Amino acid sequence: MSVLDSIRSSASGKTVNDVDHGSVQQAGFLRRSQIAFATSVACLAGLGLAIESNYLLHILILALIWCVVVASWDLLMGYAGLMNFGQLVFFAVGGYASQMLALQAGLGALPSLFVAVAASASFGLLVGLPCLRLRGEYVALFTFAVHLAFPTLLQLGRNHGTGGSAGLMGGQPLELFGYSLTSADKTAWFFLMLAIASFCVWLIYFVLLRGRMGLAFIALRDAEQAARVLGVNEVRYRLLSFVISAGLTGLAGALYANYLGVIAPTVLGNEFFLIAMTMLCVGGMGRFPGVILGAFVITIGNELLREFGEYRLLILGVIVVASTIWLPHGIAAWLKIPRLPFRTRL
Amino acid sequence: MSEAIFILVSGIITGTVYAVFAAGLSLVYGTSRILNFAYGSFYMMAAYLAWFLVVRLELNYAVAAMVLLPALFLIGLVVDHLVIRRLRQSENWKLVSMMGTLGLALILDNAALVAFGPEQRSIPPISSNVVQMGPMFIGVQEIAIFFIAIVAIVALELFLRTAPLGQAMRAVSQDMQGASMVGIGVDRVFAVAFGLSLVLVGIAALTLSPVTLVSPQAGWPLFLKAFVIVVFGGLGSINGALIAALILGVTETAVIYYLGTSWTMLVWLLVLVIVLMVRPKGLLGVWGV
Amino acid sequence: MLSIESLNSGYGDFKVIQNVSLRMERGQAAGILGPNGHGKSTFLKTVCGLLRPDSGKVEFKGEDVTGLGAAAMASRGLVYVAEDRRLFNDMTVHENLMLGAYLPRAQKVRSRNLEFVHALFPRLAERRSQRAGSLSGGEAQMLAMARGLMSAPDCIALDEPSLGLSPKLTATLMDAVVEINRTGITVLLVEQSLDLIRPHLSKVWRIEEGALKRENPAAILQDMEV
Repeated sequence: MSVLDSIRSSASGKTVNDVDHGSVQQAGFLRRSQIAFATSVACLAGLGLAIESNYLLHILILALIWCVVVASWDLLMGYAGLMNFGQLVFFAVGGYASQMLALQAGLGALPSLFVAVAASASFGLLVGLPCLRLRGEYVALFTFAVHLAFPTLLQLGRNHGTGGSAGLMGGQPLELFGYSLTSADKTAWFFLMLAIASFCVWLIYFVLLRGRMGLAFIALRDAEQAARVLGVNEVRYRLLSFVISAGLTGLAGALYANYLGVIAPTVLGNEFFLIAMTMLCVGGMGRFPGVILGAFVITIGNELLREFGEYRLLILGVIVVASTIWLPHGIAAWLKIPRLPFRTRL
Repeated sequence: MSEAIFILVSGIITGTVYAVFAAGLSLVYGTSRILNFAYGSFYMMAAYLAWFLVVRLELNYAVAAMVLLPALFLIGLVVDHLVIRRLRQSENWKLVSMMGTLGLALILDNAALVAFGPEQRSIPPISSNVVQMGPMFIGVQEIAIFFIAIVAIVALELFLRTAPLGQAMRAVSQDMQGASMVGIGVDRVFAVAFGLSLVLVGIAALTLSPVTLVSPQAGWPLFLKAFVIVVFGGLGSINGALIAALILGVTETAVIYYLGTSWTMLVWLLVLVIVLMVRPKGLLGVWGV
Repeated sequence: MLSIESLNSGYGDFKVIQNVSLRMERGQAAGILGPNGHGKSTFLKTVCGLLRPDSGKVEFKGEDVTGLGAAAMASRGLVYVAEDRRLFNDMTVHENLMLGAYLPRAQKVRSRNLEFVHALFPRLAERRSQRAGSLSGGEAQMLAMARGLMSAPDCIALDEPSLGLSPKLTATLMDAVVEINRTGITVLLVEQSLDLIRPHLSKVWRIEEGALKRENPAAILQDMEV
């Protein structure tokens, strides 16, 4: 048994035999959830082929972009125990970096995308570093302050190519394997986003969180002192999760900017933040596939709410408060999914 | 020289109002450990209510204050009862209360947008007269703001030191379990602290909104400032908040004077980063986390 | 006065107190004895409203008070003095005592009680304007007991007042417990050792883990009438 295994067993108050028994259950559960995941992706792919309406495909593309954002967010808030409220800044950094490189530096769309991911990951490192020294509320305060101050930074950078409040419009379509993805080509974008979102979700929930990183987070959450004493490298894993989370969110931001051909400070505004919050709260943080379901439910729900006009955002706000009060674990709680190995206290 | 005096005087006046505002955030955090993300939005709401009373109903300031402040106290009690108390009882109350109060903030913002529209409103100043003080001219408005803010801070301090309920608040903030053991109804103290924080918000709204404009998004910059002040002064410490607010008020005035308004938010963020790096628990914090 | 029937309590899935019953009459002084970690403190906290019982019944002065919070218990005259004292560290000794008399029922007799606790612990009178956080261990324990007395209790529950104190200080505190009981206050005392005070106690129970198994920390109470 490794150190982390022993922490896990002591944290869950089980004997060694129980853990062995548990990991058998876990293996079965893991296989089942992998099958469920693959089936869901396949169903979505089938849906993409069947749907002809550009509007519906557009909604699904947005939902898939949101999937990447909220899954990365969940990695920090739901699992790493970092109360980060600055996730959309990573999204903005990715979007702005790719648009600025494409429009001002004349870089191709694909290289811009890669540099954008690197830029947002570095930004994640920059934000993550101070957070390592801080606890609970202070992380929330600091990251939220970054979120609030970032739009003024974009305003100040008007003369350095951020485009001010109008944002940055235009750019070349993304080219992959000689195929040009224009905004109008919804089916191609849908499949690209499906591939990327599936990859990100798989990477976060099936690779990172089931590996050493996930175990370290469980250990830190359930028995912080013990984990420290036994040498779980808290700093390394928390920083790594920040960088990965920011990089993936930046990727989503860059793709969003390329897909719509525009990025503006509105991505840091009231509406975007509210929508993301609703996805997290309604979906349920730290309970895969909670936030993924949240992304789909809220993206579609948001479209349905458009008939309420100006009351739409008000309704979303009420949904956030109501779900924190009456559904603190989100709709993920209804699924009755066995919570191994994520013995979540959320 | 006169420039420096101007920045100092004007910064101190701003700082005292910030202190009043930040004290409310600190009070609620100090007692219940709830970080109220809706605090800035409550300010925005209070500013709209003040605008409604002063501009629409054409009440004078004193009457408006007498209507507004008790109303805000009651609103605070109701919000605490309907929302905050339930969030506090949650298993994972720390995260849930942050998400819940953020949701509350977004409800208030969008409600204001629906009710009043996106355009900015302004409230006429209490007085537009100017008096000469030595080498400089200073508005009666500014003097009034300063005195109102000082009275509010002194009153709060007196309340916490001498009134039984104020003592109970301090007791709860120092040891919640100890407080319940001597028979203090902790939930009631939380509710009063929340109501009181909205009264402080109301005082800030009445004094600041004639100077700044009122809009659905107006709460957020002030909210960030209050955060920085409270972190600077130590979460939960009223005296710390006052000192921090004065220092930062002067700093902000100097930044606006030399660099321009657009730099203020970044400077506040920078101060926050520096404070957090130097003293992760705040410079003057006693209660800490 | 105080009657407890088949009380069960613990922390989440971790059951500590199982099926505990006891009775106390008005004016009695009783002790509960037991080694560390066998649930003495958990039991007392449950009775005094700091922990919610899983099942069972607590009756105080003929009223069913099961599941009430600590503040509600204090307002009915059942006051808990914690082993970790729970003082208001940034306030003075005097402010702590005044907060002890926060409840209306205690405010009425505040000056009389203040005289009593100052006579009981003259050291607190000397340290009246000192910060509670700066007191020594013994003084802090005196203040915790004095603050409890300021709440004008009918029954005071003392959770290991001798914890971490020298034998001499322990003797002083045990004398004070006897004195408190002499004024008519019912005393329920939890300790690891009751040797110093046993002659003054009308009842002593022993709380012990049945077996070492964590799932089943049975708490057996033996009525050992002394």
